[in-house]
Amino acid sequence: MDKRKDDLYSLFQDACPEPIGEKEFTPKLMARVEAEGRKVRKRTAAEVAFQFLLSPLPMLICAVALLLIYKDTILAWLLKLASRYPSQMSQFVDLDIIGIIMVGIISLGCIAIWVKMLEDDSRVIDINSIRQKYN
Amino acid sequence: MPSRLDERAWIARCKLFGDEKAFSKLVDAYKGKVLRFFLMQTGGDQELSDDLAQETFIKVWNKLQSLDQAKYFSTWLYRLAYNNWIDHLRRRRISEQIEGKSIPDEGGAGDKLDRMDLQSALLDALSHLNEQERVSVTLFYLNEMSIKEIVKITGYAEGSVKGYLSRGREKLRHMPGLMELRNG
Repeated sequence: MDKRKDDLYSLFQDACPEPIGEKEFTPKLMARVEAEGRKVRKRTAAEVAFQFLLSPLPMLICAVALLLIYKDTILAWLLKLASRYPSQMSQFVDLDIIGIIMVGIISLGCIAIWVKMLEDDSRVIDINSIRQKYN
Repeated sequence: MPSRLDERAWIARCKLFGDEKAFSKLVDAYKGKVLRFFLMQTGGDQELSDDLAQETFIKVWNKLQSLDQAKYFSTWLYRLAYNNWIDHLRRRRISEQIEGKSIPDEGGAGDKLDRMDLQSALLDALSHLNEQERVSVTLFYLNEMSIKEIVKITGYAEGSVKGYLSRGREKLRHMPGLMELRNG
């Protein structure tokens, strides 16, 4: 038997006092939250949009789009690679493949910038909470 | 209770856009449990429980950015509530020392309750448990937290939580009149 579902569990569920003023709790709290919100600078829509553009989701969409565009080249390269020795691989490395590698490196760079931005953002929030504490 | 998906969507909206509507839904989902947690700790003091719950949710709003994984939201929320309760006890002890007088224990529900029904009997019985036992028993039975979650919330060792629960259970079961009132 589940230890939790014993006689004490039903006692706690039956005998727990009903909080008075539960209905007024949320509006009262939201008024305080609104007041707190005025103290902390909210991010603008442009900031949020910029951060989204640098997030991994658009990167993933770009990667999928590139795969679709270059799918014939990649497929042909893989087929040739499968039928020959790796030492002969260099002759198939053409501009398309270099392009894919470059896009990959740029994507990684963007992800790194995005991670850095998130770190900076959390630092701003920390400073705000410290300010609130001492004000 | 909202679905886990709804809850995660509200948390994401709060974190990304500072969405107050999403936060009010989150509050509606958890206010009852948090208020009841404080009622059990304060011996049924409605006003104090309300204040402590309000403070807890304000902290949730201000610190939500630091929550890494939304799936641990409830554990994180109860940890803030628990810390708030400990801070309150600390403040009360400091004011006791400054004023040089002993303020009656808030866990002692006896004065506040004049009718001896099941609810007041439970609050009275809880007042005979020590702080750690009362918190562990409340989180386990009322807030339906697992032992591992209680460890994360309170910072006690797992063995200690098991001990507090076991002793708390024993004390409550042997409390004169409590189980008799429950059974009949």
